[in-house]
Amino acid sequence: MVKICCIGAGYVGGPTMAVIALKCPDIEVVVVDISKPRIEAWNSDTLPIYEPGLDDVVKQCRGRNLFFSTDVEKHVAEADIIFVSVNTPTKTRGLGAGKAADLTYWESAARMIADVSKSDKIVVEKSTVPVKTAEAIEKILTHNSKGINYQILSNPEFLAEGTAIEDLFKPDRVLIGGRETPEGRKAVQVLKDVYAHWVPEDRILTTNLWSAELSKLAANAFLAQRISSVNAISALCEATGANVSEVAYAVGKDTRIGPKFLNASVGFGGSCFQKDILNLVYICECNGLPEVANYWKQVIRINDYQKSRFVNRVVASMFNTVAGKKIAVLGFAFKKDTGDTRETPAIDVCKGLLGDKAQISIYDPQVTEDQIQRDLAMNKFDWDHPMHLQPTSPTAIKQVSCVWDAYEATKGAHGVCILTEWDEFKTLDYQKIFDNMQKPAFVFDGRNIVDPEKLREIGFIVYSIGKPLDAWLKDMPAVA
Amino acid sequence: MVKICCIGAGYVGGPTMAVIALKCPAIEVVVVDISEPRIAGWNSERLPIYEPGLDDVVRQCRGRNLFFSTEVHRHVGDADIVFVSVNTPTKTCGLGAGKAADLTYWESAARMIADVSRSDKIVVEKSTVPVKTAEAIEKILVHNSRGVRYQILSNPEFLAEGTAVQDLFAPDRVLIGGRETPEGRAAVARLRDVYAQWVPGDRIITTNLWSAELSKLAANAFLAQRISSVNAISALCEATGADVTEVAHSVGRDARIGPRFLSASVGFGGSCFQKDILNLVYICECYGLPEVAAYWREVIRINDHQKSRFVNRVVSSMFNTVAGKKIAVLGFAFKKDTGDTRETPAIDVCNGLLGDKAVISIYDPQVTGEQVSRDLAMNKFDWDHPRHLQPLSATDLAKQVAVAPDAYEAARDAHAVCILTEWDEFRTLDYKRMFDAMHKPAFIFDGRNVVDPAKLREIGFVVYAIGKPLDDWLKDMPAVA
Repeated sequence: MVKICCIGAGYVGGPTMAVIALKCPDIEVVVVDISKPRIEAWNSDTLPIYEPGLDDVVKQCRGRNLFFSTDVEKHVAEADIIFVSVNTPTKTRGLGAGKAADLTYWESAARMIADVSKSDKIVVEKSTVPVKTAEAIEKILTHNSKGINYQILSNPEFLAEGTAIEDLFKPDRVLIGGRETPEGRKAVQVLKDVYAHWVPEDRILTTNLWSAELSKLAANAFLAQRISSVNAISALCEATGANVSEVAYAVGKDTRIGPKFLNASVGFGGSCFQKDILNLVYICECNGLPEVANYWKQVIRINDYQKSRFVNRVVASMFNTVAGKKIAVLGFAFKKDTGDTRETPAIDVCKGLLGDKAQISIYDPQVTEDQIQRDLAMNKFDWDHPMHLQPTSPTAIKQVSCVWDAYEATKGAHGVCILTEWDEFKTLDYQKIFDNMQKPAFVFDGRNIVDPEKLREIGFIVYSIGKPLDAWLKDMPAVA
Repeated sequence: MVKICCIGAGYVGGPTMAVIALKCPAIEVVVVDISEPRIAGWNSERLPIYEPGLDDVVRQCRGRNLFFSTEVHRHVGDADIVFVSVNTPTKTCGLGAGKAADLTYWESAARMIADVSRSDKIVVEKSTVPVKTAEAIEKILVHNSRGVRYQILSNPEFLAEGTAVQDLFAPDRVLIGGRETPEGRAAVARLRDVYAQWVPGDRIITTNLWSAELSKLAANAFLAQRISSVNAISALCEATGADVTEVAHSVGRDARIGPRFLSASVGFGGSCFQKDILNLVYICECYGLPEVAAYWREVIRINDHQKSRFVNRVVSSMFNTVAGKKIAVLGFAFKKDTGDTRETPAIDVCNGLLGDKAVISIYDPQVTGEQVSRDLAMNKFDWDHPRHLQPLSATDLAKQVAVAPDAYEAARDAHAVCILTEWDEFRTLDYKRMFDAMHKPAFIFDGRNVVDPAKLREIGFVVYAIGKPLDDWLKDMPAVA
């Protein structure tokens, strides 16, 4: 029986291993983590991660060929294939602060593997790493090997939060990178055989080790760039009277461009995009490529600009003052159908409004109040450390309240900011909302999910990203 | 009978009108231009533009319902729909120089239309224009109207040189923008009916006027950005030992990104990409959006960097000196299957090598020697003015540049071969024969990734391919800006 051990029970390791266990009943899969509460949660009825379909997958396999344990050393030693899926947070100080990936957890995982191993192993990079990390890991393992042979593979994940299970069941591609040696090729084949249980062979791509490492960063950079590009166009649409949905539709009809990821919004979020691009920028700088570094940095700059622009629009529209005014925020997750708030634009927008002393009332169907309060108190990148190293009991921010539905959030508010495209926000009774708001009543749609015409008929002043501006907004231009 | 007149017989107007005439036998189409030689070219056996399939289309319709004429006033006066497809060159001096579009030809076309019109007309912007140009044109027409009513529409083209006829026969989309008034909508429907004779209804997109104007610029900016992005990644691949073809293939398998326009190269060219992005940058600056302007400018910067990087690689690989050395350049067109050299990266690469006093021998299966000489003598953006306003060829270039009849002649006694256009014939050359006739060490610099580096290394070449792990020789002689 092939044994797989996955170090790290987070958003990547958990769902991936659950699906492997489901699709490969003859493989024993153990997910290990040093966090006892997390492992206990995986073994309970309330999993620590919400993903549609995940509950069902885990319940089918847990106790059969899928196990969650804190006995890290035992299971690593017994495994044939070890996936390393630990956090690689962005450094917050020292060389590369704000951009470079902190490989502390990765390095300690490698040293632990070397310490406990008694038989040859395939070690698979699953979490996102800078290019050439495999080389560093290889050196650590080799210099501590005691005669054991290790093959390092890169097998980056391409999951999108909210559709992780679906993405794992039917991936666009599975990417496996290995050394171009006989031993490397053999290791690649072993891992390929695992995925071939359910993924068609033409979707399993094999490359050299560095191409695989870079492909993950590049794919996320390309996706984020599409969003920043359409967001950049949205600013020009507002200035010229064009309509970004019309422009994006016309652009997307070109089969060389394609229609996906061309929805203008208040900005992209998620744990991957900003982090991977900043990482890519840092790698370019380290390799003496300042022009390339600056090119990718622009993707982040436009994203920051889009969030700032949105906040400026809110404040400028309300006579340049929001102090003491109640503003409803609908949606806090970085996208719909997830409780994930990592790098959500809602954090920056709320902080922008709090900076102008607004009173914020937040409603999100999935995100907990505790998470919201923590997010608004945390420094950037703290979220990417294991939970037990994150700051505890932040003081609740007095200007922020979290409520249980949209109508409560908007009661007595001056403006409504829609920051996440939850389906329920499309079908709210906006007349009822309008009746309970201060006048003039504003809707700032950061996701283009409402129909501006209908809301204007009700009496709202509406701002939609990239759409021709309401007369009120034209008369009160936002300036940075 | 509906009459269409197209002002401007260039790369856009000519093929577009030919296809309309072919698909709409009931419509009379006249293409007019003030350039007598160009119109004579269209009426001859040798058309002034090479596009696969174009000869056949023109031959079927010319003299039947497709005509080419220099009688501009008469045909504009007679037309129901007037397409304006004149050049909008980038300004080379004054406000917005190097970025803004020069609308001189557009404005004079509008004034001429107003002068000669006796009946209501639909005026269609076909050439690429800055956002809100329609408003300016409208003002000129209205203020000179003498009772005639005009509807301005935007109908940008999305042709790719080399596949223009194919793109016109089966377009991804036809975009028509008009004013959101009853009269505007009626005009849009009229033009829509023309295209509907061969384009499925779901591919005909109607938008407001400004969205249509901006969509053309945005689409080209997005396409150019894809190339600059994969080129940016190619530089990182060379630095890390990754392979850009592997990375691009993996990235392109993501259905949200798609696999097209992810081929790394020495740089993008063509009359549209750089010009449209610079135009977009200028518009953003005019509207007080410096952050957006800086964002799109980076696409151009990476393209320039990629060409510079390539030249630096050539020079540094050959002991930092190419003075007096013969270097073969294979491919001068900005892409294969066209004779178009506008903004081709070959110009910048050749100028870079000439700056280091190299002797260049150029072979391209489609581009004429005269065109090469003109391109290397011209200042930037001169190509977008009508022919009779372009400067004369410089004679001093003749000493350093020769045009060869074939690839083997170009490479004879050369130190290096630079492949700059992905012509199919370059994939199947006898490189062994070529190697034998070259100085040693013999280099291949593949700016289009058309050759197999491993095979060429077996023959004895030192090979540089964009975005691929570097040859040892190249690692030992790093290129520095």
